[in-house]
Amino acid sequence: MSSLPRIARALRRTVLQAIPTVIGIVILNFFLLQLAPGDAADVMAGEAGSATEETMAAMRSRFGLNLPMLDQLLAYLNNLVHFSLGFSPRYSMQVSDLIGQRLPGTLTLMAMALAIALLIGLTLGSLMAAFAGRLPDRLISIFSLLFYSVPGFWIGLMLIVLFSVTLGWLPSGGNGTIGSDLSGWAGIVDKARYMVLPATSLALFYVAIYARLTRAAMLEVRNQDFVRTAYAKGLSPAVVTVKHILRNALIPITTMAGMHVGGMLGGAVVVETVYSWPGLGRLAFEAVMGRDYTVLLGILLLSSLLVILANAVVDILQTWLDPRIGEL
Amino acid sequence: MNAIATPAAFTPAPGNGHRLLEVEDLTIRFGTSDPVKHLSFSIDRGETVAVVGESGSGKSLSALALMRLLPRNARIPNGSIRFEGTNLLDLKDRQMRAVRGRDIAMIFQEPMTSLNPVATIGAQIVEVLRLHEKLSRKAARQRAIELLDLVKIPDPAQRVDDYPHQLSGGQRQRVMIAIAVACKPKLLIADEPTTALDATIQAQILELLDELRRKLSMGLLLITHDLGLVSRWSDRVVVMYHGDKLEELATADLYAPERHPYTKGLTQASIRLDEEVHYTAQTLAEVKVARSPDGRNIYDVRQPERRSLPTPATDREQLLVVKDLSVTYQGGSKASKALDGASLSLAKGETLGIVGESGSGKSTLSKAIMRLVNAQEGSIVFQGRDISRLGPQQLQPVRRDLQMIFQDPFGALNPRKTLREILEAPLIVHGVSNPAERRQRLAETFEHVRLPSLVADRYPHEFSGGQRQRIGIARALILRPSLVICDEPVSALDVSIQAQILNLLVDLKTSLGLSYLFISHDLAVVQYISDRVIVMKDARIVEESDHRTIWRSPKTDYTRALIAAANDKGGRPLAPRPQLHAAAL
Amino acid sequence: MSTTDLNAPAIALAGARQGAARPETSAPPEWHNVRAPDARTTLTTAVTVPPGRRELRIFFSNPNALFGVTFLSIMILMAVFAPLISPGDPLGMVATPFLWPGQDWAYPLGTDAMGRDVLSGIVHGSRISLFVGLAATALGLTVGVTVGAVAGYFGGWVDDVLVRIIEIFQTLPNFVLLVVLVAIAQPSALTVTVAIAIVSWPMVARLTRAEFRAIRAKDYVMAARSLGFGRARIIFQEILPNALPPLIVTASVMVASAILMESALSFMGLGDPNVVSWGSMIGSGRELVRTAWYLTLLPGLAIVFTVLALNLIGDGLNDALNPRFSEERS
Repeated sequence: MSSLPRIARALRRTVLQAIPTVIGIVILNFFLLQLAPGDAADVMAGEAGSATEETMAAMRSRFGLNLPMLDQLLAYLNNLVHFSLGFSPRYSMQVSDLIGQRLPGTLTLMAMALAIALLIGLTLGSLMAAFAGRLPDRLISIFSLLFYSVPGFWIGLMLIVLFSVTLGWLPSGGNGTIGSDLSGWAGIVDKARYMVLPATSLALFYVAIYARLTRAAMLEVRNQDFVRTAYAKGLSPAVVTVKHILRNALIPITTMAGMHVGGMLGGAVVVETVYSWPGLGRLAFEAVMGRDYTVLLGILLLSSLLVILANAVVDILQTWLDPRIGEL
Repeated sequence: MNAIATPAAFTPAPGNGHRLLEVEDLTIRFGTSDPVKHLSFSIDRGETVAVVGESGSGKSLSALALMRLLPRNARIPNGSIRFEGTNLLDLKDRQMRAVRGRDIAMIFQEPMTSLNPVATIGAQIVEVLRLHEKLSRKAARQRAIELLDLVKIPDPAQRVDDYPHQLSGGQRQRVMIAIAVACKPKLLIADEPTTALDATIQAQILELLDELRRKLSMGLLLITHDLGLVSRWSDRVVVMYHGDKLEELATADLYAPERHPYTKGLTQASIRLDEEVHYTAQTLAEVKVARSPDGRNIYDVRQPERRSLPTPATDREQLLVVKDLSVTYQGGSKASKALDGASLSLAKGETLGIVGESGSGKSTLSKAIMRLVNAQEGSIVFQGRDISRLGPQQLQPVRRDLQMIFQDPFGALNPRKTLREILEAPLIVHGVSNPAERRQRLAETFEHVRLPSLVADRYPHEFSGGQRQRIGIARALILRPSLVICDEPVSALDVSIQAQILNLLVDLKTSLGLSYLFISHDLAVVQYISDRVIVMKDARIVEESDHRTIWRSPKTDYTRALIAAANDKGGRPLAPRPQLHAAAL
Repeated sequence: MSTTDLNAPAIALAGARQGAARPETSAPPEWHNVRAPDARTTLTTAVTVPPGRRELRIFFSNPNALFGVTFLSIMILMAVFAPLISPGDPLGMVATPFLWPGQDWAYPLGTDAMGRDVLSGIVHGSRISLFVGLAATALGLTVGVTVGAVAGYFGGWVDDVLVRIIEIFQTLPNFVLLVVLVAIAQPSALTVTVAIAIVSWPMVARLTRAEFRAIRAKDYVMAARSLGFGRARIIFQEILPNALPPLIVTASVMVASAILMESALSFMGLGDPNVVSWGSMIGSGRELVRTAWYLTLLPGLAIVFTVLALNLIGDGLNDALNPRFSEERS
């Protein structure tokens, strides 16, 4: 049986389920925007320090800030349909362009962190399950709990102290050597050097999560009847672990990995602030400082969409991993 | 190792002392307790030996010990397991892995969970072939298809790429068998191979196992709790209780008079369809085991007593009349009919048995009558009043007269309440506000179900399965109902306890004037306890008759098939079992 | 269970007492079906042992959990008696700036760039962290359990609507939403608490809903319905006590993550500006991390150990209350 029709069905189901969620998020977003104290005109006036009532009113009508709420909602929805998240007076830029500029930075950072977290987490988790109850399990378990308890921004700062200030091995912030004109391999190495610390800071928490999750999932699967069947066939423990246990344990792990994409976006906000990484998180921080709610809510909306997208990817991955999903 | 590595080429001569497996003085230990103690038995080539016992007898652990698949925390302090002369306990892990799946294979009780859900059945058969027979991918696949054909999976070339969830339980057990016999093992261990399956499927699976035993001249070790199955499908029987082997005997002697009292009690307590025992004519034998002060078990059999109870008249006042009851479950986008136009009536003092296989709608019927699920169509007239549309408030007084006993003695009691709380809550809800009266009702009910009232402040987990079922019965009786719906009340219990509970239910019926709607998949149980019987299939009632007629002259093919399956699966052996001949592959 | 199903009262009692000593209960095997060869008696999920001392005993015999409880108790005492331990305004300048820890024993943990006592900051900072952690968890649990219980018990369209709402909140990235909420509402201890509760209730609701749905289908709830028990009685007497264990575990983890969220907000300058908090101490020490890294290290350690203590308690509770894999650890 080909798995393509199943995946298509799963995808359709995911998309259908996402629609009400997206609508709910858009409306929530709009109301949060309405609740925000003052508006962009106030902020700009405050910054300029010499705004008159007339220039404020002019600014308000220019940005449509003086219309009744329903009209504003309709305008907001209309803008969204045209992929416009509004205009940031502070940056004098379309919010969508602004976010578009910063998005790749965050995505790279997250992808890197996710890769590190999954790789180390799965390995540690498998080790813990293999040694369940014995010393290696207990040791790794305590370490993973420690990782789980460490705030990302703090470990970020501590890594800077250790690796850039004391040892001088790695740069402490930014995303590339300024003014350098490196290309090809050297360019990639340069970028990677800048990415190591932020990605590690972001990943540590998730290393802990995936390790614990993998341990639990593998112990759960290990006790199932089909594993006993596999041993009864005469297979070696290594083959049973990889072909039968890990393969099945991946299913719950994928679900959880998907559920943590949103959390990781949040983590990126803090870590980017620490490392001056030019991504969405850094932008969010600047927006908070400047009380630029249009940008802030644009980020909230976009990151929610990102989460929905990630969930769709996870759904497809799961359908592919688990033949029982998407059956008619 | 050498002895084991010999190819399975020679044809064994039957019954002339070709010892295949010799277990001697085997003890299995967990911490400080020994669930299996000093077990010895043997299996000859081509022979079927059954190890029979109730839960906690240690029979399944013994089977796992032969494969050296015991849980990690188990130890084997003494004993040997000689397979073709080699002590398996002396083998290195590597050597043992070469034995598993090739010389000794095993199938398990739960076909639904014993196959890897994310691999195709073909891949799971191929895996064992490639491991032991070193076949090429292509040859292994071809062989897998042949094996599927051998275990009678229709259309094997198509099904080979199916995943386990696309197969029924019976088919999955066939796949398990295909995996087990793939490398033509000399010994096949079948641990409760049919317990999780419907009766009609059970017989087919056992038939298949026996046929393969003959074709491949395997020794077969059958682990089971089911005496009927033992008597029909085995040559010799080992009876175990609580880790002890009580006796070993030829299957033909299972019903002979000189036997261990426990075996005797067990054979008498397990009812069989072909014996046609009925509650009006006799009680069921009960076997009880008590522990003497010096730690030995004392076995006590209460022989069946003859009696003649009156058969309740069916034309008396009708307690319950159900008409055209239909239940449809809305499962996402598609609706499925769980009950389709069921009609029945039940006279006062009568026991109406309902039989059917899983998914036949019998549980839905009981829940619909209890108003635990809503029926979309039809009426339920109870004590002359249609209760099918009553709201919760109006139902309240009805519930006092209409009660239910559930199947699972573990799941049916709230684990966080004491017995007293469990039994008093219904009284409080139904307005018995005087504590003295509640205490008195409690004591009375305890007496009814023969539980000591001393235990009232204990929690459910402190009781055995049978005791819990008594608590469940007590909860149903404490409101003094007139009709009790029993939904598979003894299916989760061991044979000896099943007999005790059935005797109890009959006693309560006569002393309290109860009526029962008794649901079970077990024809023999229904035959024993019912005055009238209804057969259900695919959400419909297909046949209804009095308790004699339905077994002697069934009207539908389906009922005939059910009866045939129940008789096929087990029963007293009528003719000598076919022995293996030159039919080996 | 064994055949020791007896009518004689004395022996039945003895049997019940012996329960734990029977081989099949004292030897937890790894395979599901081993325990009961005739496994239909035990196909049910592991039976939870009711209220009790047994769980407490397991919990307190776990050294990690014990460490967690001890450390957390000390932190709570410190928070309660902060004004006594370290009198005076923690935000006030008391000494020369940039005293390193150990340099002046009057200020054992040194002073920051404004000459504020670091130890005093850490002692007083525990108040906001623990207050926000506990209050936000209490609020989040209340809302989450209520919503989850209603959705799980009633099912149908109520469930559909509530699940949609839960889904919306779970899709919004927690921390981004938290930042937006606090930025809009203006930071204060109260708004931070409410905002953390808003982002954390959906997880509780989801868990409660799942538990309620599972328990609702159990036979003992069926029995309660067939006995005519009212809704309130079924929800509060039959279902909730059995749904509690996972919720208790979740609660301890929630406090931990609330403390982490509060510290991250304060770090970003979105904490209550009027009180000292560990996060804000790190935030203000951040610019000086190259020279005076102890200003970042010390409050950070306070966070790490408090959160670790809570997580250790959570793990201990999990092992004690949901003993599925406890045999692996013993």
